[in-house]
Amino acid sequence: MTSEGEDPRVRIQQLEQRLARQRRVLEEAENIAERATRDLYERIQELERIRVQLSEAKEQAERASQAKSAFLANMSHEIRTPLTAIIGLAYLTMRRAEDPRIRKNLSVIHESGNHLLGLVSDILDLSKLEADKIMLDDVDLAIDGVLERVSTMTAARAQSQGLEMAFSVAPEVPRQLRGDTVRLSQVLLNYVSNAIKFTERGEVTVRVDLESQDADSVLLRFSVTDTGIGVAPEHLGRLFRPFEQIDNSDTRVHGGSGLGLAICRRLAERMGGAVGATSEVGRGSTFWFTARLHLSLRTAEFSPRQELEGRRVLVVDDNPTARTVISGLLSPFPVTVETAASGAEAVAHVVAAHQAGQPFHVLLLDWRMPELDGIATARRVRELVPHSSCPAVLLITAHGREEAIGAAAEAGIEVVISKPVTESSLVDSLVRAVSGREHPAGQPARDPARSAGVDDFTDALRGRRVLVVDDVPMNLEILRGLLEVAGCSVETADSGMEAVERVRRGGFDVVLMDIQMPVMDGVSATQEIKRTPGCERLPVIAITANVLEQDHQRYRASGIDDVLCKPVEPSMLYATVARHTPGVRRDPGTDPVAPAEPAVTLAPLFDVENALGFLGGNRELLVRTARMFIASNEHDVEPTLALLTAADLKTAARRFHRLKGSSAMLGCRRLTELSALLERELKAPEAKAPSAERLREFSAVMGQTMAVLRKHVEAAGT
Amino acid sequence: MKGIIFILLEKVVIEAHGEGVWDALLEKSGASGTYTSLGSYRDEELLGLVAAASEATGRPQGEILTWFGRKAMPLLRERYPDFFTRHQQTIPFILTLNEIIHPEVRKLYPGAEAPDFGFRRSGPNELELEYRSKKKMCALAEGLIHGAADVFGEKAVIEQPRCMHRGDESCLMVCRFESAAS
Repeated sequence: MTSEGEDPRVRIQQLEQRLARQRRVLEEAENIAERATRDLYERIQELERIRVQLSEAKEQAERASQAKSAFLANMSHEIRTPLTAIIGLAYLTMRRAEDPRIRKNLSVIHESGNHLLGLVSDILDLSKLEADKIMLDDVDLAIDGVLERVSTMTAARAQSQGLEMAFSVAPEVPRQLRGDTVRLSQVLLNYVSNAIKFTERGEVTVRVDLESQDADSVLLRFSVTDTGIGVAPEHLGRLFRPFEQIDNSDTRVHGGSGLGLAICRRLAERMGGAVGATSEVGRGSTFWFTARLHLSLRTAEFSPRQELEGRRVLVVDDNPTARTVISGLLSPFPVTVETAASGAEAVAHVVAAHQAGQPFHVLLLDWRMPELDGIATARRVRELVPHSSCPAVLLITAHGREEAIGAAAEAGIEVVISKPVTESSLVDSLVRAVSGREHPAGQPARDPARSAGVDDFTDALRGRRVLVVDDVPMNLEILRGLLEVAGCSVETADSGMEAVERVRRGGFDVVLMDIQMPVMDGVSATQEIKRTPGCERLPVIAITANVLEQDHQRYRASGIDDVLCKPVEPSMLYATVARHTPGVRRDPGTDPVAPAEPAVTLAPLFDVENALGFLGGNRELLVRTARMFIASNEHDVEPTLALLTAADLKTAARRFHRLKGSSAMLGCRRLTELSALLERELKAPEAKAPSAERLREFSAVMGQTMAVLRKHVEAAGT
Repeated sequence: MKGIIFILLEKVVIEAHGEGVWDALLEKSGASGTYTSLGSYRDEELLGLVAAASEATGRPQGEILTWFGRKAMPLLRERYPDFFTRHQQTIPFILTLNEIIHPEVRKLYPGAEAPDFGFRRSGPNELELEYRSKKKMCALAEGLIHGAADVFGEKAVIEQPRCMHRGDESCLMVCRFESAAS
């Protein structure tokens, strides 16, 4: 071995060797570095080529995806149009068919059509959500309204399966919010429908809770709990993924595209929330979602608080959940709530309260209870407690409303509430019961859409004058059929041009407008209508096979008041028309009907239901009022007509104004409308005495009205 | 054999015995001594250097390789700390060899012939490691395991019931790790 301390020459030689070695290392390292650099350069070039290819592929994919979206939208349009015919005609024919087998077949066609429509909508929704093409509305919405909507659309099915349904909103949840009503309802509806679908017996509960709140928004948690078959934990996560259902046999039994929950998840996420579920096989499931909603700047216009202040309410139901829910619904209001689990317990409570000098004001009775049912309980209470401190009775029924109304009326119970009970239906009824009348003036009419059966809309729609505009005769026929069944009087126009002309001549409460028409399309026609003096507020509802949100927004921006998608589901059609034509009283200032047009021939002479609406459902009161009306008008017609011939138009106008008011209270709508028309004509700037023809018409309507009322009074007297 | 091994060897030898000893080993084995970490060199050069050291010290070649592996591991930690910092113990570190460390080595040094090991956890602190390579450098692997134990403050006890040098098909190393403090 070499030692470092040796001869310096040896040492130098050693160092020179090391130096030479290091030089070689350096040279080799440089070569390697250069090769590596070249390598690197080539790879970068390669990467760049790949990047360009990828970005081209990406653009291509995006173009393809857009084409796919457009194709889907078009296809859905194409599919919806024939579906309109299938669903609509099946429905109409079904209503008229005599043979039960044919009715059954048609009902299958109708249902299958609806099912197919659901699939088309789901696929379109999902593809739009995936393409991020869904725009959310940010408009005023009431949580109660959303629940009503969902309850309306699911109550019938729940009832037919004998399921209890309960809706509750935590008291701290702000009632006036902003958000997308349709999408919110869509998600909730999906959950509730699923819950009903997978629950054979028991109950479905919908809860809304406040998750968190900041300065201008709230995060709400909607949960739907059922007592159904449940889902194994390992399957829960999969449920919210598209195209995955628990297994194929389930699909066959329960139907559905398997897209519903995936759509729900994406919608909830779009609304700033999330989804989830917990479940126990055989015990039931809870599906929940959260959504962020903005606080509305608008404060509630009406508070039933004063009406209810200090009232004492007894809730009677054998189902503990139902008791809890109803008590919960009342908790935001200044009422004292007590509960009883049976009719007998309720009777004991009422008697004790009466004896203690603290009588109950309202009895909320479940109809079907073991032993003493709701109606028997009400009878017992009436027997035991003097009339002066007898509580008002509200009957709650999960069964057929008509059946309940009949049975209740016999027992002298005026107010019947259908399950599921929602806050607004409960409070409406309570206020009506304690004050003996409907909500104070200024309140919007109750949304007739809450009643599920199509026949329930008849009252809301009877006598509505509807102009239906469509260039396809078959569509006109279907809409005419649907609306006439509901008691509307329908005229049709087959072009935008004709629609504008007819509207200018007046006589309509609402226009149903197809969008795609030759020459003048629905949007231009609507703009033309809204420019016409006196027609600015005439509601125009678009009926379109176009389902794209952006287009709907464009329609609304052009002045269209609402949009219905083809094929139009009858109950949606009725609810929408009813919503846009509330009340029967016509305010001359806002009446869309042009003044010169007599258009009163179709309103009913005497609409009992309508009158009862004004009179708190009190039939006795109706008879008394009718008597008074007959008495005060019996000898009034001639003098009024005399005033007209004497050209004392002002006094005559006042008479017609009074007549308009009193006849409206009685539901004598034809007379109301005619009086309003006469009043308007007489108050016009250059008024002259009405034509002889108009006066004859008035005499006739007046005479007919009096006759009908007399008949009603006589019938009640016997 | 990749240049990095030669560079590590050079460093370890110079650190322990001085530059003169490295010069002598190069001279004796006839190796070039011009090593860069990215270059590749014949396996025989490494084995020649080991043989020269064995001759000079009178110790078996296996012992020299084990010694080198143990000394090399702390240097590897300095160079590539990321592979080490995510572990607290030797076994989890060794278990990342096949999936993480050697694939990365192959990316960094194209052409590197890093071996794959077979692993079997035979106890909470025990790992069986099967080595199979034409290079037959189980002694180097053993040294590297010892070095890794040193890095993690542990002590490795390694038995080798099977060895390719004894005619077996593969080498089996049974490694038990204990805390160095005990």
